[in-house]
Amino acid sequence: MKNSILCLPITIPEKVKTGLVLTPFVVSAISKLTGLASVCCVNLTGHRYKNLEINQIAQRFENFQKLLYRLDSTINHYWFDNNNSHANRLQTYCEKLATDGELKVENSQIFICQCGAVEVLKDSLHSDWSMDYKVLYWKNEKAFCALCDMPLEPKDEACLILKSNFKKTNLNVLPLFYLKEIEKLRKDFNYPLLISRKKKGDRRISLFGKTWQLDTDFCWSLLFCSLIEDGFYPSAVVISNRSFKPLVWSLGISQKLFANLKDTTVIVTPFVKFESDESQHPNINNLKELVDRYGRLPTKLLVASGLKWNQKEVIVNSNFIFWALKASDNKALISRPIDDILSFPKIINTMDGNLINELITNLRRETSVSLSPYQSLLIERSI
Amino acid sequence: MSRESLKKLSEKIVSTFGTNNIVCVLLHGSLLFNPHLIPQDVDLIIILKKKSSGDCLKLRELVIDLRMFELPIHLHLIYLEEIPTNADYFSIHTCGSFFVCHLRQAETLFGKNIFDVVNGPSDYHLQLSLLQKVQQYTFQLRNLIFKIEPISEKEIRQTRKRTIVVLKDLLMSQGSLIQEESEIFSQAAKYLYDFSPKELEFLQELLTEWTVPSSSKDTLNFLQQCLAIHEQVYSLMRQQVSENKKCRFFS
Repeated sequence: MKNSILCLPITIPEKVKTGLVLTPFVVSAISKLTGLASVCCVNLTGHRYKNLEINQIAQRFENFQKLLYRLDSTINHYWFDNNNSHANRLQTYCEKLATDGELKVENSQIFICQCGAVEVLKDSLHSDWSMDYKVLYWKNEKAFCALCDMPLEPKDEACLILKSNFKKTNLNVLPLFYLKEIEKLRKDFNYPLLISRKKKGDRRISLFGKTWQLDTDFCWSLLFCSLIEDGFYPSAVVISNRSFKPLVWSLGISQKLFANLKDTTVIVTPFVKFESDESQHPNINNLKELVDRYGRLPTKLLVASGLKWNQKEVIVNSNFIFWALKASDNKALISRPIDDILSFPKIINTMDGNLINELITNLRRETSVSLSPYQSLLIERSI
Repeated sequence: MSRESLKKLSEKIVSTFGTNNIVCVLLHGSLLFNPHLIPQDVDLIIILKKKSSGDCLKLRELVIDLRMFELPIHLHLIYLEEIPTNADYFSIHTCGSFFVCHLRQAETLFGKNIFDVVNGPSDYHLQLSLLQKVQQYTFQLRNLIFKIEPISEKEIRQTRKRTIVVLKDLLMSQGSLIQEESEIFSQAAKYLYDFSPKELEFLQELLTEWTVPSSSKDTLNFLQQCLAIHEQVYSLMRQQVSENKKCRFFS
């Protein structure tokens, strides 16, 4: 079993925004500094790929992978929610959950929209814990689906319901100030979860003498279990501070099946906005344009400068690229050797965006600059 | 040219110079971005780690061998030591430092695209190199119209191609790196506010139903229309450089 560091599944849009690569960027860097295997999880199913052919979805992933490669953010293993071995395991996972009494069939009232993007238990309609919450809106006290714009209709159905009350194991959270918020969410998460789907669902299982379509979010949330079975123990998971709910949900569900899934360190990145002035081009929030225009190193420095761990929100302005470009051509660089064992808190400290800003200033001023192992990794020029 | 042929071509180059000596083989140009264009050619950049006196002869033999491929092949040989880490110092033919951005969009047939690890270019050099290229294209087109000898079909087709290319350069100077012809036209339209409806119609025709003019009168008329586009773009780019106070032009 390899100890690994991973990021929660990424859904790949047509144009990859710079902020989207922040978590795999951190995963790759920490993996190189610690020797942990790097795992990038990718969702290739779900409503955001609606109307796309299989080859178009594959192309999106290929482009994304190429962008990470161009940034030198190499990844050892990609995990996909549509992977066959994962899909085949869902049956076993659900059987075990049913045997343990965690998964039950119940006749419940569900609210469902015309296109099937929203299916929600009546009791969860007002809960922002429902994964459908993002595609639901309210008008005149009636719930609507934001995708088909149709009101939700009630229906009485036999449903697969998962108990939520997740086990409360200790979590190591970095930076520490996020711990309270995550722990509160774990404590508050106490809703029955609808995991069967009437209309939309890519995966089917047989349980309680019936075939069920499974909710896409439920399927990917078992990723920790699947990774362990693939031989990757999740020592650390990197998430954005906007992804606490998916983390609590997926870790909680996975821990129902793998009790030994503990001591996972959660590394939380700030929410980074890459802002361009309207008059300035290219848009620094379009990663491909950025790498095409300026090359690898200035782009890496730009991304790295956003990792100001002590801030919840960071704004990186396009003016930064001008200084990054100026600093990128310093010829005399001295690397500092790795002289001690690197712990996660130490690594996070050395990866702080403020130190990148400092580095850029020093690179512009000095003829020689001493580099931390992380900075050496960023500035590495060999091909 | 099929994927299979490209793969064979790349393998041939790699076996000629040896895997250990090749940094990368890059495919760029119209075959990659606008494969519907005629005449088509294969633009390749070969980057070698070490210089050897017989390299150009080897390449010559390769070009002779490659005649078996259905398209003409343009090879550029560059040595690793000739590539600056700062894109401001790079150029190929009429293309200055901006060409590094273009080459980052190339398809890597072998190795790793070295241009990703080149830094820049700076905005100043990007603008300057684009302006110089459009300047050269405009002056060359004027020369073509002055030319007394018959104008070949190849020259006419090249002019058509360059008319779109200058629009691409205009877009690049605004920060958009677009390669696909129809997208170039639709994106460039917002900058062509000085263009008359007739000029815009002409550009549209270039993209859709264009055929090589048959008579010399039609040819000259066509070249004049192309020149008008070149001059408009050149004017816009001069204006841009002047606004940034980087250069002043006589008025």
